[in-house]
Amino acid sequence: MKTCISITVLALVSLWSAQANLFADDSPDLVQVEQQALNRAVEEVAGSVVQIRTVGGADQIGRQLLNRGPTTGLIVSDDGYVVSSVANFAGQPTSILVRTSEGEQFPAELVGRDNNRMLALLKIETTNQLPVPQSVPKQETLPGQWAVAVGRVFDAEKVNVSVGVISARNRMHGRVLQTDASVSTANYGGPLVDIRGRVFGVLVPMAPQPASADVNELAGVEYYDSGIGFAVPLEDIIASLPRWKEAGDLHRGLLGIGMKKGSAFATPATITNVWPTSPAKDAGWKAGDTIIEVDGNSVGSQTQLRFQITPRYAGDTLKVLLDRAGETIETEVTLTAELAALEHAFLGILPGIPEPEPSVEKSEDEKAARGLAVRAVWPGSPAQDAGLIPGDQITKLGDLAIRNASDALRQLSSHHPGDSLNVTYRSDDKERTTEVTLGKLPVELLKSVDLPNNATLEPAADWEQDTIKLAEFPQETSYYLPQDTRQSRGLLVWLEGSLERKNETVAQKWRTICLRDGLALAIVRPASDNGWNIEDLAYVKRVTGELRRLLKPAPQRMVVAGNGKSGQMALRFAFANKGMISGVAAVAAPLPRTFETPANQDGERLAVLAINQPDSPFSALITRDIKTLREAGYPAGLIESDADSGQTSVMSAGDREKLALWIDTLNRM
Amino acid sequence: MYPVRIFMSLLLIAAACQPCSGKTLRSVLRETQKKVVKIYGAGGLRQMEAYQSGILISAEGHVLTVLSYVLDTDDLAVVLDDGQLFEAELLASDPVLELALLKLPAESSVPHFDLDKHTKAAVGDRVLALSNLYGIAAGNEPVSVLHGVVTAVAPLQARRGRFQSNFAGPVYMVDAQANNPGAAGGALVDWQGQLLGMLGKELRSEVTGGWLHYALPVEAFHTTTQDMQAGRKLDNTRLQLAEPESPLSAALLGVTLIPEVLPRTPPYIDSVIAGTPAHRAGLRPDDLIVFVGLEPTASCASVNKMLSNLEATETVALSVLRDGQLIELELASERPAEQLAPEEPRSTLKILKPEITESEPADSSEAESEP
Repeated sequence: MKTCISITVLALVSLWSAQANLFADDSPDLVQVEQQALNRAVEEVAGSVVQIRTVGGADQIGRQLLNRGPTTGLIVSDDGYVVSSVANFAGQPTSILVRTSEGEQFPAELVGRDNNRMLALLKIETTNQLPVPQSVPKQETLPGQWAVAVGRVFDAEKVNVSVGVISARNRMHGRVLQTDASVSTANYGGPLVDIRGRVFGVLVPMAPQPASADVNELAGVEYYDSGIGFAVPLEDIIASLPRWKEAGDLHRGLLGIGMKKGSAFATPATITNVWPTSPAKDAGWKAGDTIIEVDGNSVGSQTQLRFQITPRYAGDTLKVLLDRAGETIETEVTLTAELAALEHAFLGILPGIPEPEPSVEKSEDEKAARGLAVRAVWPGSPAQDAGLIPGDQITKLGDLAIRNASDALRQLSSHHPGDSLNVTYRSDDKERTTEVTLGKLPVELLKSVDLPNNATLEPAADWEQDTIKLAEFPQETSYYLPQDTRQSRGLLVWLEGSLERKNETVAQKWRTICLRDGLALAIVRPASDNGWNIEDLAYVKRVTGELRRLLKPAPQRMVVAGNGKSGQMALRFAFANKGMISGVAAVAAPLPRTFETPANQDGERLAVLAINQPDSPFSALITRDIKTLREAGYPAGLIESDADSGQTSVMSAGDREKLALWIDTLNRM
Repeated sequence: MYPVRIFMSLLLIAAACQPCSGKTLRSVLRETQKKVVKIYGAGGLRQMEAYQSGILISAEGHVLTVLSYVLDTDDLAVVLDDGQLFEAELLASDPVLELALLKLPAESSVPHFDLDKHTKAAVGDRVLALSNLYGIAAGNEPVSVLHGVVTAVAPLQARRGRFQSNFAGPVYMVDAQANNPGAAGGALVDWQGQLLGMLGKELRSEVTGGWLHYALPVEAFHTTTQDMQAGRKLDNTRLQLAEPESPLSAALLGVTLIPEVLPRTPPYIDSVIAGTPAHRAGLRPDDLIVFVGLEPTASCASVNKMLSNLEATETVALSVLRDGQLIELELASERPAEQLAPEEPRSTLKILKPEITESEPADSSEAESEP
């Protein structure tokens, strides 16, 4: 962190001194000498700067209109390798043509992309010896030095230039140099050169890595000409060139760990979870370990760890020192390009509704002896294979005595699908132990025949209605709480964007189910009559937190749901606050267009239920979304609605029953 | 999407004029700022600023600026560097170059640029852009100065649509954030304060897709300004390109391109008709046309457009990619123009279709109808 600040300060100081030089009342001679030197620097490199043209390919990506003009590349080997920026090929062109400074045209082959440094490698076939530029050694690169950005875009015969200084080194976690020269499509792929015409690096657009593994080839182009431009040091490119030629594509390297929440600058690199199939797992890393050194560089914070990992590629092997409970452990870890999505372990039981606490205090032992009652067993699940039946009591999972559902959940959370686990349970007063191989959370709804009804419990007689008003938001939220329910209570937060449908109408539709299942209902509306707005997310979050505090619902049965636009809002909210709720249900609502699926996490068991109307225009989108979510490891269910798409804003009675059943079984484990 | 346009290098130079001894940058700046004026007129709606910049070009108070909605008012106010406020008269305008000449009722001589003594700059030369961008300067405050270099001297290829320009000749592109709201009409000068050009209105580049920072070179508007000043009539057709009398087309050359299913369908040749210039030159189906003459292609549409800019009688050079090789071919039309059917070239193609020799068997429609 200290290094980071000092670099910035140095950059500012140097910038200032550079500007001061420019504008001091100094002799015209110096001005002329500088001008000549800059011109010579450009001449020096111009021979290695090629113009690139593409034929065919997409016109736009998303809403971003792609540049259709020529772009720039830099020769990096005399036998025809040319480096450019991946942004120049984002449209996946059919053909690529390279024009050298001599005016010769060559068809080029895209050898591969470097998805970590956002570069593209091209190859042209030529017998000529191409001019290779000299690179500036990284140690000699200092903030404040003249930096000239060169492109060959406007004119094939002449390069275009922009003059600035080096603003900083080691930006984007150690991958790029920063310059204040104008960097844009006019020079992406071209060199950033020093006053002697040697190349600092290759100009690229870049933005901090997104949370998801998807690489956006155009990330960072919105910062064009802003005074913030980036260049990948040529030394680094030359170093990775042999491997790049062979591998085709280079990828950033992943470890497969989750880290402690908190400021990345101040929090030590303590591991909170290790992905089941990951380099970290292979290296024997465990939750609770703290990374203290990578390849001889000490690591005191998560940011420092990122500076060590981000510049490396998948396939790189690092020597990592861990601190495990005071003991230093030496490990070797080989980074990977892709991690298998994390899925949650599933035993296959639905815990019973806890018996009401008897008035007489029982000892801890007696409580433990009671164990966890099995209400239902999922067909085809590990629990069924092991012979568990409804009514059994699970007393131990592995070595852990199980007193209640949260004990069991904690134990399951530390395991992953495919792991073996000993289950000890009491059936007909006999205790048995059997080994099961854990499955993954199901996406199918349990059929009501497999679910012994909670008919033993009387439905609540009535519910109480009340409202929440948060001072800083204009709207009110009504909630309905079934009276004197003995059950573990669920909460349905229903987002309602329609003005026509009053709270009473919505509540009336849910009343029977809520009273029967002991489900509290809250109806949340947008701030404006015009419907949901992204700003409403903050309200939904605040009011859900408030409801949780007031109603104390079972954490495994907290669900946010909605129809259409409200459904999209529910999805947005749920994925942004995965730890807060356990399920999200959306009726006829595809994922928002700008949505990026966040990675599934250990300790968060967000379930998704999409209710699809087969003849709705969104049907195909929803089916695709559910597939995407499943691939990302989420237990995402899809059920067909029995309502017509004409009634998109009203949920049918049948759909409500299915949703209620899903909520009722969300505490499955 | 509006781009982030941080004007980091914006420098507001102190108003105090120092005794000008020798040509230091500071003295050059101060002298030059006095020749750039702030213009206030119509506008004020969203993204339509009611101000722009202008340059003084005569001691009597002639101001050259860009022709825009700002001038579309009877109350046109021009404020000089020293704060003098004038009500300006719109003397003449050039709709082709989109320039306007204003006249101030100046009683004494005003500092000005002499268009006859303008200069030129090359790529990499350091330049200064002076304008009242974002309307920051007011009253007796001097206009803002941005420094940069000439990025390129290249034709103005602006994107079509709302931002369009008639002028397509070479302009000075600069790496300063020179062309922001209110900057149009400002001056681009070298470090000696000599006029290089006038900052244009905001345009997006057809080449890079980004906002352009550019100035119209003095050579481009020198004559028209003299004409306007002298009250002569302007030739409004001077920038129009002569359209071909009978335009060339792919059909006339004897090729059909693959069907345009995408906006950027690559210009692959679908078929070549026997006995046509294309056939004689050796074009083949599946060749990808990458250049028409010296112009690179991007799509079927661009090839058709380029061909239509040529006369049917012209010999056209094509470069094609075939199996990864770049092949150059010349297609010479042997038929005189009057024998062609310029009205409906497409029908010519239809009549000739049975003669297709080297095409792939066209049975795709049959294949589609199979269950």
